[in-house]
Amino acid sequence: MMTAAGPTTSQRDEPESSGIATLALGVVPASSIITAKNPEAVTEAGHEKLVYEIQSGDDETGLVPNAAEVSGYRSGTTSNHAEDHSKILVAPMRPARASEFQLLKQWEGTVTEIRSDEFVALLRDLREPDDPTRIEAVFGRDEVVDGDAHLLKEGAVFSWTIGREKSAWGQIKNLDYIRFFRLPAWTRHEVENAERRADELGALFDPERP
Amino acid sequence: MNGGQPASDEFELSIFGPGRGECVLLHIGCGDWVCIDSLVDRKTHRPIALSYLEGLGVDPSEALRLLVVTHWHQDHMKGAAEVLQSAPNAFFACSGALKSRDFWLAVGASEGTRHAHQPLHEFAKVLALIEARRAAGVRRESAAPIFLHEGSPVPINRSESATPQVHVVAVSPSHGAQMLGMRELAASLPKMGWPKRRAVSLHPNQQSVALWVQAEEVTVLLGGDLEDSPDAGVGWKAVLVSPTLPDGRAGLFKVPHHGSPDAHNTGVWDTKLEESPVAVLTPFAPQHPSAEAQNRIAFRASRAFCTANPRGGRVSNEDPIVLRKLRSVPRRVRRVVGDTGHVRVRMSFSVAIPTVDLFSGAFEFGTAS
Repeated sequence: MMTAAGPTTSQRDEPESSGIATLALGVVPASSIITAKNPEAVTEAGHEKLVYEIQSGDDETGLVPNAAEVSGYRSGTTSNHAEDHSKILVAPMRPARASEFQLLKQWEGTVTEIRSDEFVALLRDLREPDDPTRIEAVFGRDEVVDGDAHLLKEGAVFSWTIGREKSAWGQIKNLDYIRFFRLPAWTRHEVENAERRADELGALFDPERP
Repeated sequence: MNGGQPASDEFELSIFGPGRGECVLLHIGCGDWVCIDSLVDRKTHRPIALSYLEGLGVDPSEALRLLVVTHWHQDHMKGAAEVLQSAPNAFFACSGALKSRDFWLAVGASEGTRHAHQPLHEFAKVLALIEARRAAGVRRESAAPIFLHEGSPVPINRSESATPQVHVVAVSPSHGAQMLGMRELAASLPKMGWPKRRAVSLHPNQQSVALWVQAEEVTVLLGGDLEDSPDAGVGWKAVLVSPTLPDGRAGLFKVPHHGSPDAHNTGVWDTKLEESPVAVLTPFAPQHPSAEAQNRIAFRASRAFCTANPRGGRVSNEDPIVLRKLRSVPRRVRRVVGDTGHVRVRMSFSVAIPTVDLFSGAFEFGTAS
């Protein structure tokens, strides 16, 4: 499968459009053949800058639509391999641009309660750190990727990021992913500093205490 | 919008709450004010106590005479350091349960990490301000936290000639509650090699300060977040049997802990409140106050008020894609801090007949049957 570059395996993909441009040039199972229905959309999506190489039908490649209607792409790089011109198998050689990720929202969540199959978290907007607005959200445990499951404890901190990705191939997807922070551990130096400060505060404000 | 200042001989109780968090302001006469707990307004990003006083034309640096933090939950102390910094005349008081080395240690640890629990950061800032006062040579009462427990008179930094005489007494925490220690802090105490997780919602509410305020004919019981307990040595049961509990009954009641059933004690209503007091509370969305709690409180009070919608707000002012994710990924979501509502009660010190004003989403939820 050809996949667009993007966030980690915990992401959820949500195709925004079922247009042929997205279908043909985004996530495409190997050796698939898709019949072109909307070649204009392909052009509008900016793929005229892409270079394609037509391969045999069993190659693990992407697809472009009807050769006759995308003839502008063919010069030196494409050739017709099937009698049915509406079905052509091609391989993208290189994208014209890197994928782009537009951050729409990023919350920092603190886990406040863990239940049998869900957990409760208090979310604050990381892009508006001074805004005291909080959102309480209840997530299923299955929203946490396996690699982070051991981090799910009361007091754990995670980020929940929502954004829109435009892949190198022009496909637009709405993504979100939850990642738990690997919180740093207390060091000996930090513990010693805290102990020293506690002694100072105690001497200042609680002088009777030994 | 909030009108002018109270008259010099007029008592005011203002309670602010945005869904979570609360702040109480008292006008105790002659332009002197007391602030109990702090919250930051989401629109102005400033402590609501400062915004409100300035809106009335009151200078907090002159008028604020005492800041009490009832306990160290975030919803009761966010912005406390800014309030104290703006009020050089104000004493600072807090729960005697915080007078422990574990607490100093947690505060000390918070100064070295950005991952610490926010209230600890806030407390560290408060203590740094008090240290600076001490270094500047201000008098001792202003340069040390005043630790409160049952029976503690609460000093207010005001002129001896100011009227009326106001007596503020802490009715909690009990000595038993202080002995319970700082369970909530356990997760925050630094241990070498342990991850710096945040302390979350355990239950220090039995260590909350509750206050009894008396000035001429005005008597107020401010319940803080004090909860009840099966243990007679802590919570409201301990308050009721304490020999230091002031005599009399209060006509104005700040309902403890957002009206939660855990904070309800019938004996308080039967023995320490007038027959039909005015009750005011702040919500803790989305749990408190429940419909049952509203009925219970409204049944006992002459009038009962809440500063904001207890069900929390809908999450709506977002990008459509963000909204779609909010609806599809979590099982439930609720905005828990919204616009700050405000209940204001004013009355003459000599004739305690209250006038109640509601602002920004505050509402009345019932009358006695």
